[in-house]
Amino acid sequence: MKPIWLIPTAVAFSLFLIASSMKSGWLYLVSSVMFALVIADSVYARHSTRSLSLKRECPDEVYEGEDFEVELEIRNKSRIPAFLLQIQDEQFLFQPSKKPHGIWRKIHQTFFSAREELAREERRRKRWEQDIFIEKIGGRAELKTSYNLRAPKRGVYPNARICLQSNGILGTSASSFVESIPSEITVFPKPYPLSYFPCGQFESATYSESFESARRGYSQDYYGVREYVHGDSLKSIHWKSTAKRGKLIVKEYQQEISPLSYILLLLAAPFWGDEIENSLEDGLRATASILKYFSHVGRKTGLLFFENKKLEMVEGEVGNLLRVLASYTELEESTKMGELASAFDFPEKLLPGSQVVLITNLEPEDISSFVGEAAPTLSPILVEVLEESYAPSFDSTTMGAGESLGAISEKLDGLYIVTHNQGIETCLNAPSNITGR
Amino acid sequence: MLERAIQYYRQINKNPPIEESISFRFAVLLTVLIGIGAAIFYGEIAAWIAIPVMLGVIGGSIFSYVKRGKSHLVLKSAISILLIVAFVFFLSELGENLTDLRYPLIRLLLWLLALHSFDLPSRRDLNLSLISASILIAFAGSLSISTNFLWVLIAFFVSGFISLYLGNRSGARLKNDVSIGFAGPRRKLWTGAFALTLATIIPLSIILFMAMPRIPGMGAGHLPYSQERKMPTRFEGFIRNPGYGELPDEFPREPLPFNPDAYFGFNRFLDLRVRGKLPDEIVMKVRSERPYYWRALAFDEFLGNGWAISEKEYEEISSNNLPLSLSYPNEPPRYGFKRSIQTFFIEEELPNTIFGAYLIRDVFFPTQILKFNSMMNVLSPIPLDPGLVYTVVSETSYATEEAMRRVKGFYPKEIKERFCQLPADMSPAVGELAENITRGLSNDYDKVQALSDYLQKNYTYDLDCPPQGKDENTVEFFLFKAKRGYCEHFATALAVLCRTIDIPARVVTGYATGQYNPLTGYYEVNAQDAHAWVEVYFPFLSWVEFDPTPGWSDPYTLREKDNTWAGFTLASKIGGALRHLIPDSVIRSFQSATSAVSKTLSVIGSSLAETFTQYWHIAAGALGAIALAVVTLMFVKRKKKRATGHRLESRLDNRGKAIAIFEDFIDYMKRHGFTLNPSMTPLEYTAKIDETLGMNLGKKVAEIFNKLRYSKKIPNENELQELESQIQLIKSGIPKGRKA
Repeated sequence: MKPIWLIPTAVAFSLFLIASSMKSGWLYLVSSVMFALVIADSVYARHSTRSLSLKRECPDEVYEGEDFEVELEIRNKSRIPAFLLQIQDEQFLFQPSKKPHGIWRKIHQTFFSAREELAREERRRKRWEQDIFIEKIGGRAELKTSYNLRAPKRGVYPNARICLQSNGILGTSASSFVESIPSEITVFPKPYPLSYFPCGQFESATYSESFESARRGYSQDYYGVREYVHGDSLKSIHWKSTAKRGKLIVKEYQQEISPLSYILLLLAAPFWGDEIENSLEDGLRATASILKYFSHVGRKTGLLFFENKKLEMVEGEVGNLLRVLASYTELEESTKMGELASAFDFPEKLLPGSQVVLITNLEPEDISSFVGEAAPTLSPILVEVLEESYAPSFDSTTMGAGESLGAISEKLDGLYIVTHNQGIETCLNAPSNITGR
Repeated sequence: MLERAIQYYRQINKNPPIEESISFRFAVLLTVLIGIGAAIFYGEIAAWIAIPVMLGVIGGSIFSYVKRGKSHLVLKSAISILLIVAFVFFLSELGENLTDLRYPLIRLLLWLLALHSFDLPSRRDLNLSLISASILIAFAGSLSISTNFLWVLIAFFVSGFISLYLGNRSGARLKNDVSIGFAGPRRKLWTGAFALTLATIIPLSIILFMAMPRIPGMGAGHLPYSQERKMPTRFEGFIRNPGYGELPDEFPREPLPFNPDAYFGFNRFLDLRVRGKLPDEIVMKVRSERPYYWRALAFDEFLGNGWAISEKEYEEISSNNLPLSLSYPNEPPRYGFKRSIQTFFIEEELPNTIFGAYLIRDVFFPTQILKFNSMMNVLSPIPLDPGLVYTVVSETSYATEEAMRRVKGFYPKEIKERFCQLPADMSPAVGELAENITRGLSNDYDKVQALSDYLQKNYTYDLDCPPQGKDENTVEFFLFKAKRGYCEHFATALAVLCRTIDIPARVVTGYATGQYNPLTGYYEVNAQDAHAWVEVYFPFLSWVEFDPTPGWSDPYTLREKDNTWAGFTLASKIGGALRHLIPDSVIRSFQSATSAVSKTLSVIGSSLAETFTQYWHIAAGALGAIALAVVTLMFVKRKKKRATGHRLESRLDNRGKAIAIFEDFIDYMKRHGFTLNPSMTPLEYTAKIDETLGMNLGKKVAEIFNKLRYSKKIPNENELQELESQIQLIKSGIPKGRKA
């Protein structure tokens, strides 16, 4: 907030000094009125920003870059009407403030606000943020409004940050109040349409079923267990597991499963790029694109990723998998490839013949051991999101990582190289022809 | 990096958005015009400036609106050139007149406003115009000496508030993507905002105005005086009082006929035989950082029934440059003074005596010639006409009581001879009285103070005092016969009493301080403030003013009078204004009622005090006994209350739990559509639940609750558990999804 009260206060104070010097009563009066103006406006601005209650409704899930409608209900709890209010919906104010603190923060806000202004303008231009102006809300009255927001970046946004601002009635003061409304919204990574993506060899349900029996043991007639969800029959409860885990576990039967493709995410924190455009986000967008494609062709998909240095596996509806992508956090910095390899025992956990799509932004050398292990049984496909393509000096014709990729490409069933300049859609629709030969 | 820096630079320096709101523009124009009008009217700006400025501002504002979206390089260049021209004029004006900077500055500001009006594309520019308008109104306020200026201020602030509101609204609208009108009662939008603003700002302004400290000024400031008058270059040193015409050279044998339009003390004689009352009208307004007595004339020769100025010749001072600095040859040494500036605004025709706090040193007066004598009676060649403004710089005495006590009798011979003069036929009784009053006092200050106190305590101030014989000695008449009189009698008595004990003293006339008006900041001096007091000489401290009239303070103590807080003065001013609205009979009744109440209270108080003095031991014992009884009673009550509290608390412990459980149950059921009507008993309520849900559990709950709630027996844990389990059963019986 700009300290707009400074000018009238300075004028009032100057008049007070002149009045003292000249002993002019009228100047004292003019000065008093101006001081009163600033005080009344400050009190009023503060009161009106804190007397409103807000209710906000918006869809639970959206995709990056997608517009969605927000409904806002504003109620004035006070008997005093509120005039000239500005409301900023800052649900997607994800960038952490880099401003200094304390007194320096105030100085920064006052005199060096250009950067913040620019960022705000940018956010407003991209419709990540919306400003609403309300002329008047009567005492105890309420009003409803709706507006469109555009989701900027995947993630789970648990609270909507609503900033209420008022410059008072006469604009000689400024007060703002930030209210955090519980209004969770999950933004999925943006998927791109794919015309074709390899789905693996085993697409026959019969084969899969027979294989399941072999893998899980002939004496059992179910495939595995999972957590109870509303609507499951009580007969399917697996009591041993329930007792062991302390929550309801149900048996999953053979007829539920079909051949699986696994997507393994090995995405580390990016070095280049910005908050939205970087190799990690591109990796997630590529994953979302492939998930969507698999869903479209009826291929069941599992998502494999490391969390706290342990391999986690999620299967199920594409929506669930996208939700995982929305909240995906990068590989821990200290994670070593050796540790990951030991945690990742492919053949034991996966159906033989299943396809693994490895999506990574790591260096090709770092992932060669994975590829080496997985190649004989899992026909891996590698989607390499080239981190270096975000570097300012990146040259798409030479592509530094090309040589390393060539060395492992022989072991792969397919290789896709995603670069920033070409875009995800183009790169995933055309496999790379880099070879080691 | 460079690109980012350029981006920031552009952001900081980007053009503000064009202001589209015509209502905002109109309100700003109106506010600016009020400011300009006030400055022109109160600053008496010449028509050749006023008319083009007014027309320029109106025309320029219209032009700015019509051409708001276009860039005007040629126009801006022309404005810049004209601004330079205006500035050159300003500098040349400064060269001509450096005594009051306000006028050249305001003329410059008026030209700037007129030129700036042609280039008002954005809200920022319009806000700048508002600030300029507030400077103009401040300028007008600094010149206004009338309370009528309040109406101008009200108009200005009303228009200014509307401008600010519209500007704020326009700015907020411009900045936001979604704009919503209003919700709530369908009243005119700005009326509500305006009413709310006024309801807050008016009382707050009054409180601030009253609380704002009026610190003594820095003393600099401008020194205004009237200009552009045709003034004589020579004049005779005579006092001309328009109400008394030409007076004879000698003191008249017959009393002067009283003229209610003029004070008889502003003559070459002070005739103490004159009787009459002056009218209630403001004669002048004075701007001064501290209150003083506004002295006009001093009289040195006591004639028995009047005073005269023995000095016939006046010194003349003339200069082409102001101020005219007054310095009489062979002035006695003087220590302990401060410079003080006072500006006088004459409202009624007054004699040609220059008023000012003693001792006037510099005078900013429209004539370039003045005359003055050794007593610093300053005369102007013209009478002081209404509208005349002049400023004096005085060296006012800051002698402390301690200093006055310390200096002892080293009076210059000529002063002692001149200011201890008394008529030969003066009664020795006067001197004896003075001796009696001052017996045992060792210094002159204490003696003067004792004489002054004696007069104040033993004589009555009365404007209707009886007439004296035309040759009768006024002091003897006043002291021993009438024992009442008005200020001239008190002042004369003190001066003569001082003279009898060889303390040099003289009588002075002028005006008392007057009523301070906190709105204008001026002392409003009434014709009835015409006054006479005494100046007593103290070696090294020179003349110090004393006022023996009952109800008045010694002028040298006025400097301590606190005008810092305007609140009390304002309240008294409002009271004074209201007084005119209330009939005299009501006021008299009120006064007599308050007087009766105060007298009664005083009688009761004094009789109580008397009784207490006589029977203090009984009274003290009785009071002690009462106090002891009260304390004991309080102690017993408190103990009883605590004991009862403890018992209740222990007894209600489980009962309270039962009530809480049942209340929770009611809340829960309310969420599922079973609201408890206030008139329902628990049994009726649970019967309703049973009926709706088709069960027979509610009745049981109500029965248990009634038993726990109302029986004498304190519920035990098992009974509470039973209540809870029954409630649980009802809860489980509610169909899923049932909601209120």
